[in-house]
Amino acid sequence: MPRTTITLSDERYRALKQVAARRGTTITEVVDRALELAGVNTREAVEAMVAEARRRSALSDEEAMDLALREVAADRSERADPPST
Amino acid sequence: MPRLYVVDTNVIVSGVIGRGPESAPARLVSEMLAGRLPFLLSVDLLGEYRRVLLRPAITVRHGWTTDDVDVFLSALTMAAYLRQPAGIAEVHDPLPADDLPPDCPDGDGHILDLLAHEGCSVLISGDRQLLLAVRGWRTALTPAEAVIELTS
Repeated sequence: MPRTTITLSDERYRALKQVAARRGTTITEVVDRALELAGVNTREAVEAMVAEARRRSALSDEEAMDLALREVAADRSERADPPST
Repeated sequence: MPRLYVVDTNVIVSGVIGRGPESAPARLVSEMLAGRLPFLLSVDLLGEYRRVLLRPAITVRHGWTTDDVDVFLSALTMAAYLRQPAGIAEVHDPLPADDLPPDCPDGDGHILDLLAHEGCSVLISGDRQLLLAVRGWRTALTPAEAVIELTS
């Protein structure tokens, strides 16, 4: 696995250590996850995630579109008329 | 300036949960991720992608965690042309009636604002009512028509 060096401000480095400690994990894992959430993934990795989702779902294309249309309509309806709390 | 596409949420969601990798929505999602389909995105539309992908009826299908959904949306965002129509972001005022197509369904304002923002934009949607409402004002394609256009 390649190694690299990055330069951080003292404040950022302190914050990074605090986050790792709070999560009970390593600085490497915090940085790796942050990069993933920032979109720093290979396209192949995201495509593989999507392919796995499609296999798991097992809906036909028509069923998938029907469900998507229903759920989008429900979301838009809730946004237009939020349920009272 | 290339044609810029506004991809409705139903295309994104069905592209993720339909089993056929060669379906039109699936191919469009792949083209978006690969940066081969230039598409517009606003904070409101991205928020709708996220909310719908996280609805229980959808998560039970794709099985993604919230972090997985965010990873997917981050990858999409990296490939997007980001726009923020002022009508939505700043004052939540609707567009003037003259600027909207007649008979547009309720709840589609964020899509219409994006289309209004870019004169050369093209809607891709599986919602036939919305497609009918938009045609004549902007170009509007079904997912299958969009795939044909991209591959021709």
